[in-house]
Amino acid sequence: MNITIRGLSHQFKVNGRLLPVLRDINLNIAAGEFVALVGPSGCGKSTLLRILAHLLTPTSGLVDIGGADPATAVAHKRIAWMAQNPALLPWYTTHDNIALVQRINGTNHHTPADLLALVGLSDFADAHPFTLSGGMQQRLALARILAQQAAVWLMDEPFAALDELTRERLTGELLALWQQQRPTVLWVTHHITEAARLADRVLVLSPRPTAVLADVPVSLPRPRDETTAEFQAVVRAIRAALMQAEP
Amino acid sequence: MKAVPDTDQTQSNGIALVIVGLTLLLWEAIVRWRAIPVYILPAPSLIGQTLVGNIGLFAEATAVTLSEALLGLLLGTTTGAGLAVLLSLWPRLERGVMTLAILVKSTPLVAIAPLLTIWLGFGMIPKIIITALLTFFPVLVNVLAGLQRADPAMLDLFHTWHSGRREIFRHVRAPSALPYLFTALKIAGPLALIAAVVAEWTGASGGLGRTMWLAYTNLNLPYLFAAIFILAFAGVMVYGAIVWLEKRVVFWQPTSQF
Repeated sequence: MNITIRGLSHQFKVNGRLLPVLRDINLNIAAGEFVALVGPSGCGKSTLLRILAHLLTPTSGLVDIGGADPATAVAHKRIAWMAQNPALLPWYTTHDNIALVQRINGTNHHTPADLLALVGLSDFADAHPFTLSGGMQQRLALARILAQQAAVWLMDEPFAALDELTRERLTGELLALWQQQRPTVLWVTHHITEAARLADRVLVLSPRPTAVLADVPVSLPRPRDETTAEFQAVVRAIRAALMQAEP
Repeated sequence: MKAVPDTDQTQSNGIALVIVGLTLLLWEAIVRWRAIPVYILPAPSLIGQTLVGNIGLFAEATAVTLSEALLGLLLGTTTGAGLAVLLSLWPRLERGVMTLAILVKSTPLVAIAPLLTIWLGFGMIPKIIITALLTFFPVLVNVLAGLQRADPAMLDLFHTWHSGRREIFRHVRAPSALPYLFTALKIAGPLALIAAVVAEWTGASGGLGRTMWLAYTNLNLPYLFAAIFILAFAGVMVYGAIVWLEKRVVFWQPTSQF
């Protein structure tokens, strides 16, 4: 599903004063593209994602998700959202957490058991989320995203709270799932190498008020070898753009 | 999930029992040593004898008071939780309803109890109403807080699923409010017993409050103390039952033993 953003600006009202967060953002994202957003912390990455997920109405500008505004896209269940806090429902088992999303979204192409198997949680169908490790909780959140069968995945640093190793394993699994389903992915991250490893395109954002500083294409085959000169060149290009962003 | 392992729990229960036992022994010793008259302070042994000797009467009175307290608590909890749900769905009502609730809560119980007895007689109904009036407030305030303080990340998620208010209430807000409900019950449970007893003082045909009142007017202190012992024990039992239930209902929350 294509995403088009034209002249998008947003301001927050803080103590009666207007604080500009996004300034004249223009983006074209092709259907099935994996786009990473990197930028200094406190820039409007999350705000941009929240606007796309219709959790926030922008001050001005146009957002088009497959020919519809965010409200319509959400109403048509085109959007799947995942954040650093997996927001699992602790009072339901992992199985019921999946079943609930399916019921609300009216999707039943897979059984909850199939989805749990996909993310390696088959043995934990009757467990409650609070008994799972941080990595397993994010796996469950990932299964919930798959259950939605949405065309757009908005992911706001979903693995930021995990240790390096778990994080690498999970991003690998996510990539495999993305290659099967081919949704359009917007992936917010702080990690330059992670962005280079995952994305088709890395957008480097400036500090607040955020604008797009650089658009770095990553045309390397997957899985990507981080030791190659080509990969290192991409990392350097992203880093150079980020350095520019620092005031 | 347990905050205290079982062996520690048995151990601390043991320590509590030893302290209670020592206190009773000391009490007994002082009464005998100083020959304190029975109309000032009866010895625990005499209180025990009185209790065992009149066990039928005390059991009957306890049943009456416990019924009043529990029915009142049930009525108060349902009213409080029901109002909280109403206010969470229509926040515009909050200011008006909360003002009224604070008004009811601030009116002294001792002032309303005799009135209700005059209007409704010596039966259980006025006691149940008094108990409900006293217990609904902590439930209302806590449950409302719980409903309003649902995890924003969960609410965001449900909004991206395009969920309605009813779904959000059922799957997020209501379960989020359960721990708060139990916090309220831990306050309201023992309070319910006090409310029922105080209501009985203004005139009743049965119950521990009435027993205490009769014992007091006759200066029958062993009888009065026996009733107090039963009340203290009943209070601990009610509290324990609430904690037991909490551990099973709100199993996802690491709760303390108390």
